[in-house]
Amino acid sequence: MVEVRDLTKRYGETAAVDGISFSVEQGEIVGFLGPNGAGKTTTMRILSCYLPATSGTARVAGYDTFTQSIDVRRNLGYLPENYPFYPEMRVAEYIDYRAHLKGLHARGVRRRRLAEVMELCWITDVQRKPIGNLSKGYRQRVALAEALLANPPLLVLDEPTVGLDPNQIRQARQLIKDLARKHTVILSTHILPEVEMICDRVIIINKGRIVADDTLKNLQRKAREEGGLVVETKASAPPEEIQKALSGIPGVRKVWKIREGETASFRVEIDSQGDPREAIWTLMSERRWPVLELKRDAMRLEDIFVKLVLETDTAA
Amino acid sequence: MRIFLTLVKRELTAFFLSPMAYVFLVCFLLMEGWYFNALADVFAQHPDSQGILFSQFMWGFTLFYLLIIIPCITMRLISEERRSGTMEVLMAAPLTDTQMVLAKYTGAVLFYILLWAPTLAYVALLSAYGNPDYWQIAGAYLGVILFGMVLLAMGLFCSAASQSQIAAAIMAIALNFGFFFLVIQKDMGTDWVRQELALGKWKVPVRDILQHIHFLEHGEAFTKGLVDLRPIVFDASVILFFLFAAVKVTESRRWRS
Repeated sequence: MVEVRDLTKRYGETAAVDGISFSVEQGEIVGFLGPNGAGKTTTMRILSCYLPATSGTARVAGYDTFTQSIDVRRNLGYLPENYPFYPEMRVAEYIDYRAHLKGLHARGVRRRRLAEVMELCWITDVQRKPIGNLSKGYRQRVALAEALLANPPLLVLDEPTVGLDPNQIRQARQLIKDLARKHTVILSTHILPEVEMICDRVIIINKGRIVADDTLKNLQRKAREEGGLVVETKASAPPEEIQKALSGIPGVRKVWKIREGETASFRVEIDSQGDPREAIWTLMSERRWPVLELKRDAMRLEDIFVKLVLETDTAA
Repeated sequence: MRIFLTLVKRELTAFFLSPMAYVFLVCFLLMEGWYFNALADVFAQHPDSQGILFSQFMWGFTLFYLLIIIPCITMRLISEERRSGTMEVLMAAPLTDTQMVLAKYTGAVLFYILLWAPTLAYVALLSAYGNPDYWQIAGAYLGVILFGMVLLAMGLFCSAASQSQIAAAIMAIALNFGFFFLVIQKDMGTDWVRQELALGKWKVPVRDILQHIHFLEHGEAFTKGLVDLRPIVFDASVILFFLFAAVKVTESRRWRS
């Protein structure tokens, strides 16, 4: 559905996007993740044909964004960041106007589609209000309804939940998830839980380069592996002795002491395959060292993200 | 084509959804009403020359406020979309820059014609109390509409070239007055205009050139009922040139960094 090859966009000297390549298959829902200024919006603007690339190509549904931009735009619903509106227009009037621009000319079809998208995005009750009078949350939903109008196979959503309240964020995420059944979705965000909740695949971008492109499952497994276990015990033996005993358990790579005193805590690095929690518990109870806590300290996706971003920052 | 009509409709409604349209209409009608009244007073004392009343009305003093009013109509057309960011959404729909620019221009021209529409009441007045030459009046309307279309195209270009409405308006007013002062040099009789300008062995007939591009005289001829094809072709080329330039400036975001 989307083919991006060596895409570069320079603004003067600085490269906002620096030779990125990725592809998105039909029906995928891909999270485009990165800190502010990473090049997310620039990439999306190129996909929506608003900006041309300095070099490289981007194809949407088989059409080139530069030479066949009208065809690309017919196949794409775009929700820019901070969707700009004409404040004096009423909601239904605006959506009707956009429907005409997107080629929904037949009156019956247009009316039906209008009612559908307004229902879907919960804006039917504000349809007669001027957009300028709406709250940010409602405006965002009007924008989403507009992006959905022509039922495009690809949806490009730039930070779709910014400015919504927590309840609206939940609803919007659910809506996007539901949409993913019929549409291919590329969604940019810097909110990690959003990606974890919605996306199948994550592309992490920093300083205009892709630093990770993997399924959410793989990234989460990686996060788990790079975590480990935390063991807390009552200090009924010298911590060094406990540390040594734990290190002897098969599947344990290394044991770090993190706290000592009345209770002692250890971080246990483990092999990616095994799960030595049972062995640890058995050993501790045999030695009569009361286990106060034994838990997985899984790195969250956030830690992976921070780590990847920091790595590229220091490399640069 | 239907997309184009949708855009034109949106342009026209945009005028009337803001207070701007009403301010323009009221001011324009006030000035026109006052001017017509003053002229009617003068011509009432000279019954022989009543034939040129309408010509004077359409082309006398009115000209000066068109030079200023038209930039005020065109200033927001493109610059506002760019500044408020709505251009990004607009161009995410499957339409070309040319369609967008032409629709904005058409909307502005229709609005301009609408400004003049109420003056038809004066024609009714004239026919009630006199015996006007309707062909001459039609020529006068053709003249002011063509003149307006030229200024609207220049104004639209300025709006495309600028992100600020005020800058667009000032650019357009400067362009209008620049053009105005250039062509009136013809009758100023300065030396370089009266004589041919010698550039090496080429003699440049400045006066003749100014005569050809004198859009004010063209318009005045129209208001007297002298409709000539040459000025129409000239006006049309100026319009096309500025619309083309406006499209190119709008497209420039595609290659400018």
